[in-house]
Amino acid sequence: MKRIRINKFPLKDLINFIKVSILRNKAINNASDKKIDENIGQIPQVNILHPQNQQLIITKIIKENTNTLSIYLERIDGENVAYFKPGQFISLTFNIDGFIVTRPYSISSSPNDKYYRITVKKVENGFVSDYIFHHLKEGDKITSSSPSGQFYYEELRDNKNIIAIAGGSGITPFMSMANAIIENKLDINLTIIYGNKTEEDIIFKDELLSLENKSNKIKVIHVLSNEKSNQYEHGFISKEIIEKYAPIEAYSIFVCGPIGLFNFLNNEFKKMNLVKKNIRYELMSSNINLENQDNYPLDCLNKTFTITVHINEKTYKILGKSEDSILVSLEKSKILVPSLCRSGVCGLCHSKLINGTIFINEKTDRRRKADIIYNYIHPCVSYPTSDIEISIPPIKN
Amino acid sequence: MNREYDAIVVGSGNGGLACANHLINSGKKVLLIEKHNLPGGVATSFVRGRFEFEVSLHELCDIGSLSNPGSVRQMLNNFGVNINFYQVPDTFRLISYFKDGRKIDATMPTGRNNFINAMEKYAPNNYQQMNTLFDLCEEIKQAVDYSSYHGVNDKLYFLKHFPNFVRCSSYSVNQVLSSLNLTQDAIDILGTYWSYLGIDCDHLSFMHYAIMFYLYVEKNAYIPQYTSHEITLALADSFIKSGGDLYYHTTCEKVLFNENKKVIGIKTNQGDFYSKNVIMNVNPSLVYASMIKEEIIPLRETKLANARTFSSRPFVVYLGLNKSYKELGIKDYTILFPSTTQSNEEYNLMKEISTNNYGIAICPNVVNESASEKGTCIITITTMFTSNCWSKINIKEYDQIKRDYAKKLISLFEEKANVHIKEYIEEIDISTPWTYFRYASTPEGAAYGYETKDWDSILGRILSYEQDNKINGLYFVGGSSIYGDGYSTAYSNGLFIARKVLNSLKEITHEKN
Repeated sequence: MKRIRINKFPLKDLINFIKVSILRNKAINNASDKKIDENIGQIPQVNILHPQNQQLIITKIIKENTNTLSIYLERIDGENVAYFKPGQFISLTFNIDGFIVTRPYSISSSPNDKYYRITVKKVENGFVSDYIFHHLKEGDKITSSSPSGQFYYEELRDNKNIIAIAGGSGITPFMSMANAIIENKLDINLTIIYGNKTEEDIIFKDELLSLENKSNKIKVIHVLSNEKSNQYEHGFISKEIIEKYAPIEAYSIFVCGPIGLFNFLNNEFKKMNLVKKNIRYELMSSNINLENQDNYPLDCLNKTFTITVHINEKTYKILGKSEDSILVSLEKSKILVPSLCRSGVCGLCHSKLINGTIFINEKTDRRRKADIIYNYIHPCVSYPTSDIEISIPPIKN
Repeated sequence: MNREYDAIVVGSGNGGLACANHLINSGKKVLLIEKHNLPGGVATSFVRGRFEFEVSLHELCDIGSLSNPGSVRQMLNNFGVNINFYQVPDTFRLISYFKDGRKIDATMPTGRNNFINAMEKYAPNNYQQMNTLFDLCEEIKQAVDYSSYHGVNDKLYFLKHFPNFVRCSSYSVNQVLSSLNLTQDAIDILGTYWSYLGIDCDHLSFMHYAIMFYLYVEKNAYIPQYTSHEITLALADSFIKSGGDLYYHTTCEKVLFNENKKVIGIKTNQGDFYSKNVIMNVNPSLVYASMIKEEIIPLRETKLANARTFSSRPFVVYLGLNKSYKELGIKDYTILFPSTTQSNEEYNLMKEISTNNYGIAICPNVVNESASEKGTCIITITTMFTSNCWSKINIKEYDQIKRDYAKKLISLFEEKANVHIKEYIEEIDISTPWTYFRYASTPEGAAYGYETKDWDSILGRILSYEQDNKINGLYFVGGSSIYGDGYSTAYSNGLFIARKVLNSLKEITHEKN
């Protein structure tokens, strides 16, 4: 191609090319020789908003009913607990006889408070549940994650009218939302439809009544499946009940509770012409029954498999029962691995399945497409169906 | 446990992954450490509801076709990585205003002749000059490729074989485009891509721009079928399969030196590891700030870090919509909507939240129908901040400011593209510079390393490479190093550094002999 010329004097172009280094050196020489600040480029607000973990102390334990406790947690360093959106959860780490395990709990207090309140319902023969109900006491110290989770009102996406459908301990995130409404921190109309077996099972009965009285933006309807009462609706939370109490204007539905509630509501929602966009779920996880899962290879039940685990340089060989998730098997073998939501969503336990096969329930499979192709799994919701070999990160310290 | 390696790579971003793979494939013993639980840095994706959102990749250049692979596809082939890429049909659609207030709505196709013909439509009488421009860009690309293998010391060779590269490279985009006698409208349309390089056309080196322009227009842009997360996992897997050690949740705290100020290894939260070659996929300012004792850092490198400014802090709104892109009336993969075609003015407006009206909207479904479920689509709207304004926001206001700004960006997009999307938002996620700081640990949440402006241009970095990097055994890869930001540039620079490390290892072997 022909010679291009930028400057009137062609030689100037060549000189300018050589000058590039000279200009660079000049700029560098004129710069400060001060040592680079160790805080350069830092955004300290980020570490305050999302601390790696929080050291908390139990300031109060309150019995909510015969099988439910509320635990109040504050920061040992005296700072406010890390900010959260109503509906989010924290993950607590427990050391039970040398077994280090985590459990996620929806926060039931308001974001305005200096503490977190979490509310725990007793689980029959639950490893952590037993510990909480029999050993945990005020003054105990406990490590918590930062608040996490996607189960919150998003003004750019959800309708201002929210129908919150709760089952059992699923009421907890909605307590946070209701408390936030009272404190003018959440601008929504909240209709809570709360399902329990009997009146005795209702958690926060008085507090819910009090919140309803304090604000015309909060409405509470109790539905009892095993009891008939003049005060409450009877049966399951059906299409009829939802439509009876739904506002005329557009609404979004938030569901939180056990898998039984989900399955029932799925059918009801199908009859209701709702769009996916207007339904949000948070599963109160419990151990899944593998026999009832679609596509679970039944011949794998009641088996024990070898799990070979690589964590950076170290390798462990442990045994895992088919009915325990890989995460649970690791915890039972006292191997420390990352976990947070324990429901397949957050991806913190992201691991490589090097050899072997696993089962995962489609509904809990929130992996990215490439994760599936390249055989990466979420051990918290994956169950071994053969001897397996995995590689998992160490916990972050 | 033997913790001695031929090379240690800190950070598994694009630069680190490319470098580590090249080294392991050359038979070296390599450790790659990553502070997160995932590889890739911003080359990743995340899931919300039934949508998977690409975090940062808009267009991958230098892929080329299967029969005529570009250097990135070649690199992936060499590493045994097999990925399906979709070609992006157009370079961009630009919706903006010229200086005198006239609106421009230009859809520019790929392919030299297509592009030139389209330019004639929007800015007539530039035919000849456009051809000259393409010839010039091609020469510059060849010159830079040559330099990445042979260095730049033989100036006479460059003068003889790449004379126009020599003539044009020290000037800004606007200076060169004006000298080519292109009309102002053409110059304005051509300058559109400036934001992908982070500095306006009065301060962005023409050479830097030319490479990107040439690659995108002549060699086309591509996106991977399963987001950049697929490329990242494939590269991580390839590295491990070839015998590399990849350790997650492992953070480099210090670089270790012997009495002669030569690198001997690193101190991490998982203990010490040893090597005479440490490659940092980390911004040099962060490395010098806390990982290396002051007395070891050459004065020039301290001054250089002090002289530089960080580049482009992204703000991204990820939208999962419950209508297909066709139903929404969206036709383009990329729409750039700066408030003005005057890049220097736009750059200044992008310094503050209240004045930044710049946006790039990407709809992956236009290129890859299965980017989301049938009857849905994804739109991500990206802007950049050219100052550190987000660092001044306090925690209490952050959420509201973030949301309000996202609302504004969405409205701007709706207005410019003449579509309605708000009522179809099924999933939304908002990333700010805080988010980038949190996950990628980049200073100020900057995604493009250092501004490649004026004296700190790519050409300047290339010419000064030996003087800028005098710590024996320490190398830098990624967006903040020699070739600047971008996926393909980071891969390129990862390979470039790997070659340097291999040379250094060869010298050691010769010394031993």
